[in-house]
Amino acid sequence: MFRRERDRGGKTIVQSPKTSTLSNRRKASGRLTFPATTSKTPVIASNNVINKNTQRQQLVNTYLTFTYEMRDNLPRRIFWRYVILVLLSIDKIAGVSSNDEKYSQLFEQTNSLNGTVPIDIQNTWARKFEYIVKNAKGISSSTTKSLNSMLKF
Amino acid sequence: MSCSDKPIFVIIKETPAGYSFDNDVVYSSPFAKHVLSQPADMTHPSLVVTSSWGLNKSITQMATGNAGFSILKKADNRSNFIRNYDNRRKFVGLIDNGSRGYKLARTAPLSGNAPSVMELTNLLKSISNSGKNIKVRGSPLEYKRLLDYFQFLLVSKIKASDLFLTRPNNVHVMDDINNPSKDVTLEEVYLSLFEQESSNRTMYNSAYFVTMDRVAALAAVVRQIPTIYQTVKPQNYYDVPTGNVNRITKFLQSKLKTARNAFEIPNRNTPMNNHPNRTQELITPGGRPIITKGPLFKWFLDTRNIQEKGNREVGTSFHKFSADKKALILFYWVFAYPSGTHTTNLPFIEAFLSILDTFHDFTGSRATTTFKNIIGTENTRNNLKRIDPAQLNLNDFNTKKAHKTLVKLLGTDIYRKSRKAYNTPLKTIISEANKRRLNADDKVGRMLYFITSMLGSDSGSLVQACENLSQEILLHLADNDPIYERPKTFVFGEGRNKLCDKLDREGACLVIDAISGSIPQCLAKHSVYHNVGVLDPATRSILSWSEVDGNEGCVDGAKEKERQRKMRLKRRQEQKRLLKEKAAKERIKKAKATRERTIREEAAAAAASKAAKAAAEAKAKVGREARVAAREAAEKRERNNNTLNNRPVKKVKSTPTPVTASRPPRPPRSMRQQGLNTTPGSASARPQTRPITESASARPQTRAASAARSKRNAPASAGTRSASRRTPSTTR
Repeated sequence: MFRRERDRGGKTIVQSPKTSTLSNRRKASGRLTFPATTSKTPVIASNNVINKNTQRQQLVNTYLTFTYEMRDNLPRRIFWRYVILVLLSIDKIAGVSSNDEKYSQLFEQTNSLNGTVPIDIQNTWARKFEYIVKNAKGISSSTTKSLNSMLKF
Repeated sequence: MSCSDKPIFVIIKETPAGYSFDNDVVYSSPFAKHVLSQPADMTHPSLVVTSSWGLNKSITQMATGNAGFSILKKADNRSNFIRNYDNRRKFVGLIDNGSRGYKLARTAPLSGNAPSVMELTNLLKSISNSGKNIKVRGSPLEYKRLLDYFQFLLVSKIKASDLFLTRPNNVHVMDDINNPSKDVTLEEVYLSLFEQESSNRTMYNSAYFVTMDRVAALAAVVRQIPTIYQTVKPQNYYDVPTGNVNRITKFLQSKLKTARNAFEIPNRNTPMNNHPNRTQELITPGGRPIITKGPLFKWFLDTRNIQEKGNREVGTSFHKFSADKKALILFYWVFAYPSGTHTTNLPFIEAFLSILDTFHDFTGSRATTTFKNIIGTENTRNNLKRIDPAQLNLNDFNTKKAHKTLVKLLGTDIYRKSRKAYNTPLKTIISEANKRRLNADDKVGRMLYFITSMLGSDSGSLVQACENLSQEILLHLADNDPIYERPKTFVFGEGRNKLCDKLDREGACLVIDAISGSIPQCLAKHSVYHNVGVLDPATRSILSWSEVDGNEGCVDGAKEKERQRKMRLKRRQEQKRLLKEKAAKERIKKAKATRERTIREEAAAAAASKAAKAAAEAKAKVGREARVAAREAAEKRERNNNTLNNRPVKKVKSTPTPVTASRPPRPPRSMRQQGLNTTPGSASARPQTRPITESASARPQTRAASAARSKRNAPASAGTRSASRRTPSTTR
């Protein structure tokens, strides 16, 4: 009832029914696209509005924001949300969507997290992300494999 | 800046593999080659400059911010450590680093800055007064220059290479991630990163250098660095076209020709009287050649006083011209200097502007109040005026004597550097214009000292005139057409302007060196201030100033304290205003309630009054009827012809009980007995209504019974008396 289907380049895409300001803004740009499943996992439109270069710059920006927020007593909820967002960003550059559903679920699960993350764990993740950013042009489908195995909270 | 502030920009380099955060900026000055780098292991803006002077014992490293703090902390107890500080929290130190030269470090709360003019002046004074044998090669003066120029070097670097300036955070992502509500999804956060308008993820690879420093702006323009120059009064911004050395030279020529007492620039070769192989290139209003071209010196500036030499008169008495004229001549000489086989004369112009800017910094009150000898005495200045550029000898500086004047401090640097090699372009330009039998480094050294001595021969007016002329040049290049004019009165939310549109269109940011007044609103989001926050390691968390080593218990400055005090005052006033508003609203509400209650009570009272009136009327009617009935009954008895009983009957005068308006009379007993003695509302409204004792006349049934009783037991008046006795207690 709240979803409407659109045909874009032979691919059926269901646009978000969300009413938040975020999604409303995105609706206007026509880039908020979801697959025609029950999943809310986003799919970048096939007309390639967001190119690889922009995605890489976005990864740099997200990584910097993550390091900017790093501090003693960083809440677990915030830390893991950043980690998941960076992992999703890396997978998007690699064109991998098989982890999207998992990331979405984990992201929702972070809402129930309490406590804080020690700085050494934050540094461990930051160093791994820094290495990926330094080699951003070589990101592939296997880049997040080892990181996914560490994704436990 | 506040203790809780965090720096705002980082440098990112695009590499063939991805993006890196450790980037160096190289600056080749007339004296040394410097590499500015951002140490990756520092947690706050730190500037580390590694210098190559080509000298044995020199300042090889300078560190600021957190890096400066670390170095100074380690060096605290070492010998040959010179330290200057205004207080215990802020100091500059010079540390002997053994065979690797000296380290210059600076630390202060709330700062990643390099030493200020005053701090460097203090350090110079300490070195000068120190009894220690510290042979510092490489003047701290050079570092001031280096840091002044760092901004435009950064712009140049950004413009010409793969460097980007970017913010270290995206406030929208931070909001989304930190949002405590559970309705923000991963998809929404991710997709918000690609919204151009609301995302501040821009990586700028284009920038403009912004300054109100006239000499620095001119130095940037001639180096082909995109420059926005700001005038102080009015506060207008000019977009100055870059790299216009030819246009500048033509402007200077036209000024020389059109000035009062105009100079002459001959159109064709005009040989000198006694030297047919030398031509006059600039002739004073008095007809004396002040710039000449010849086989020995291809661009000779004659500053000598007019004097007899053999059988001829030489010199131009350059130092007797007004400061404005001297500045004009000097600039023309510099900008028109022949480049020889080098592609451009730019290295020579850069060297001149670098020395000029050093005089600007170190001859102002900031330096002279601390280091009183720095501009020298009238006597030393007069000695400098007598210097013959053709007869200069730098060997005077081959001494262990500690110099105190700016000219000699620079002279020491110039001499030492001339022993070890200047940069090649400068050597090529100068040695091709000077054909004397000297080595190229010596020629450069002499030239630089000649410029230094000229600027130092004046107590400040020549430097001031040079700065004014620099502004004239900048405005001329910008066609006197500001790209942004500050409104004359404060306008809240003054909106867009051409400069903002230009930055948006080009995706460029501003690297601000120094400006007068606050930055226009729409420019703020594009701006980087000084070097604070630019060289920021992105590989570690970025702490607020209060969290940085050495800044424990960070104390805000007086301005910040004043700002915070005003904020507190404003908050309190706002709270008071809100409380007042709340109280006023409560009062209004209460008054309204009171009004409504009064209206309700008045209505109830009116209704009660009406009911009382009606009851009184009813009672009066009943009373009247009873009395009529009694009269009729009495009259009947009087008309009885029974003689035995025909005695006059004593008439009992009934005393009607007065009834007050507030108390309705009781309904007849019959009604009361049936439980109808209450009218709706009256019972509750008047619960304490006392029973009204009725008069005998008002009670016909009782009266009949009483009459019967009186006939049996007592005189009829007994009951009446009894009633009359009760009456006062029932009336009010």
